[in-house]
Amino acid sequence: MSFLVNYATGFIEIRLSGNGLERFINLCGKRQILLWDICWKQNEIICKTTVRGFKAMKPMARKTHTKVRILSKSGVPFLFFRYRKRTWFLPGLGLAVFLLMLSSGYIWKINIEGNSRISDEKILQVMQEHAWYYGTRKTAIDPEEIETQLRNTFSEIAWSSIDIKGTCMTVFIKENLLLEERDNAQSADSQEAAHMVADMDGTVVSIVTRQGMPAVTAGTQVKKGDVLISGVIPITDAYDVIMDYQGTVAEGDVILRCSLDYQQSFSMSYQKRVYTGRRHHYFYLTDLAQHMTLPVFWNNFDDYDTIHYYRQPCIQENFYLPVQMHEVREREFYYQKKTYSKKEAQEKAKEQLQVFLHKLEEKGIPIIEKNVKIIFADNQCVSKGTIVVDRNEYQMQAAEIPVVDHSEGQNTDESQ
Amino acid sequence: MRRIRSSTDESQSNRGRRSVYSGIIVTVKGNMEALIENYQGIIAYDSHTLRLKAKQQQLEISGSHLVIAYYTREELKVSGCISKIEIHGGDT
Repeated sequence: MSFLVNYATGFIEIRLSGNGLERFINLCGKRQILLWDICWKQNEIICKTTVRGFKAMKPMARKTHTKVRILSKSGVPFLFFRYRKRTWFLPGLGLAVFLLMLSSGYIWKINIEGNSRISDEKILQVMQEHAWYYGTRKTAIDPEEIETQLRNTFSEIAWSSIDIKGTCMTVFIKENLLLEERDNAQSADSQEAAHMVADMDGTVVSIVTRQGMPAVTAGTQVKKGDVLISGVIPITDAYDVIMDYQGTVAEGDVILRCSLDYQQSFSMSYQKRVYTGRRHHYFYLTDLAQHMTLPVFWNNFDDYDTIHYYRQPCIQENFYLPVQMHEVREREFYYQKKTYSKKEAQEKAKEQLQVFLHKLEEKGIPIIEKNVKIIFADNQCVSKGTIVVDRNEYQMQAAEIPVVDHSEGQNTDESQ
Repeated sequence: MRRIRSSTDESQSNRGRRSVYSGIIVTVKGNMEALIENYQGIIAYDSHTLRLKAKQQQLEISGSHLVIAYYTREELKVSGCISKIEIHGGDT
């Protein structure tokens, strides 16, 4: 802070030499001349002082036979003096300060934090529809209204908060992670009775029933659509005679050993990008909506790939400016026809298989067995086979509750 | 002057007490920084030694790369690698 004050008022770095340097410093202290960063260097002292202090220290220097030499002048007054002949410097500086002040009243950056299921684009789209977007006046923004609107639009949002600092608006979101489970429970509750049915052919490895009647046991072969856990529970009397049926939503864990078909193929010939080494690298400025681009550059490449880097200039932490700086890197290439060797094709096919298996493992599906063969035919590399996995996935199917006819029994009672 | 006074909150709060006390006051922060109050002037200064005069004592700070961060009539702050602080003279 003191540096800023000194810079605003201007300060001078001086070199003191002579025999009575200590006396000179003492006299300066007594006359209230501020000295700082006093540093001894080879029988000389280098220090800093204010402009007023420098003017006031001349009699002391004469008295103590001290030589005072100016090393450098820093600060705003010297800066203005240096550029005094540049007519447009001051108006330009004033305009820059005015524009900065003007832009500080608007939102130039929107950060969204805490979202995992709802994309930033979706949230920004909703905000844009309600005119809470880049370039909106900060005074026109009602955080509570945005929070309510976001919660109303996205049922996944459990809590939201808006924080405006500088020209940056941060939207904090907390998503309801149990929403999917709640939706499932609600949809299940809405049904009177539902069976759990197999979604693939396979063999039951294990079954744990939490609700409903198990329709299969471990080792049972099932086909797609077969009931695994029934949502219809028969109510019997002491003589195992079905008195009634009760409907429920079947629930449990049924692990099915299934065989998944795997087939992937790719052409043995391909086009490889060969980079020529010619590059085109440039920067340009745009407004946030990218309506205007300055300056514009073109290259004379036929085929090239482009990498864009975007950066929004920011003063300190939260004062974003209404421009974006783009860095563009273009690399020229040409296509060259190539053919995979058998070894290369096998490696690629193995990689593809590993990616497929990795995706299954990510879903928590254990792989029991894999039997995949790589065949080369008609300039194609085909990977074909089966992968045996244990799956705990099923489908729900609405169940009809049978009606028990009690009329026969009633008639019997009457006849007695 | 006012700027430096305001920067040393501790000295501001104890100013009343210290104006009565005539001895030299040395506040040391580790071995990198020392704040000296109630002194009269510098006797000798180089990058290894700083000798200060108080009413009844003399203070000698030894070390290396000694730099006087600021110097006013009220206080002086010295920074660098301080190895020894000695007070000479005065009543015991």
